[in-house]
Amino acid sequence: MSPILESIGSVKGFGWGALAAVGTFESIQTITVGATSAASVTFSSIPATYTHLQIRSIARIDQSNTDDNVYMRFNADTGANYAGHYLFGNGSSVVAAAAASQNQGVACRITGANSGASIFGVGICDVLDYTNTNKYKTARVLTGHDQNGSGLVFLMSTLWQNTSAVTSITLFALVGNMTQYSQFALYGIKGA
Amino acid sequence: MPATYEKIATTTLGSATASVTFSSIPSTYTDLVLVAYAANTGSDAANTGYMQYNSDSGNNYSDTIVYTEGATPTSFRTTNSNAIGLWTIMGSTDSNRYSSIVVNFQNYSNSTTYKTTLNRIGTATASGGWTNMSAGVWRNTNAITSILVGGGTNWRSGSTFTLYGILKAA
Repeated sequence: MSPILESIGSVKGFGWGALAAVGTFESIQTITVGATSAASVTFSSIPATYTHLQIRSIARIDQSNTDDNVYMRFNADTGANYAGHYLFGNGSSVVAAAAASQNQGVACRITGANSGASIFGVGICDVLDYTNTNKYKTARVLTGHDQNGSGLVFLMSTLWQNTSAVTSITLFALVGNMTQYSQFALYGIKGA
Repeated sequence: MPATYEKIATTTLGSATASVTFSSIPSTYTDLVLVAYAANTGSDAANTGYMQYNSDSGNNYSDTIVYTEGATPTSFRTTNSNAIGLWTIMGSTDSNRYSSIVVNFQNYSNSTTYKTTLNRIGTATASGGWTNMSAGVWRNTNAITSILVGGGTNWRSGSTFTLYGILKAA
């Protein structure tokens, strides 16, 4: 059945949405965590044919937390070459913070084993100009979750102090595993 | 590789309208993105719209919000609400101004997880404005097959709403 768009109010109308390719946003790879859980997932051999990358995440961790980070490393770099800034709200206060000389960046903020059943955190991470060899790489992250009485929403930036093109991205939990049904999808965004 | 960002449906309102509903949403995508440039007929500069899924008007929604109107940012939350809020929507105080609204629905068609959205809204007035981000959850594992976008009052004429679908690799 085709999708229906309906407006209700002082006017009522139907519009049929044509399926039209926007055209510059392409799926590169999607990884779904299976029943055995996973400490990490890696997008490797990322094509250099795009202008930007986007990672769209939905995930949960098996540690006894109500929330935790999924971290990321580029090109398997484990050095202290990452930095980040964070702005987040928890429903009552807003906090801004920074972290320098980190061994990893943050890809998204997700839920943990102490969270309500079936609640996963979600995130969108944009890695801009990832093939440029003249710039350090900066990622922008919008992420969060709500648990009907608790929850967080974050805006973050992560800096990788390296001019190499990004060819692989590893997403991982520092402690524990990402649980079944966690999903990470990598997309490429083309330029003109 | 095939393009994976597709327009599902779009509308521009020709007159004030209480709500817009995207129904019979295909389950063939991984994520959905709602992009709206909209304002409502509320008398304040900043008003509240809302979203309900699958015609569920029960108290099964909640959200966590951060917003600022140019000074110290504020965070608040709702619990056991009957809708996901679309906060700081432009009202009728300036007929030329609308709010930019982007809502991301991650993994909307699975039957395992509650459905969480990430929302960003920006509203500018002649003397200031608001920007906010929020995470909202629908405590239901059903696939989302319809989305009602309510104006709170009415959506103003000229408001536009487009729903996109994002595919994953074949």
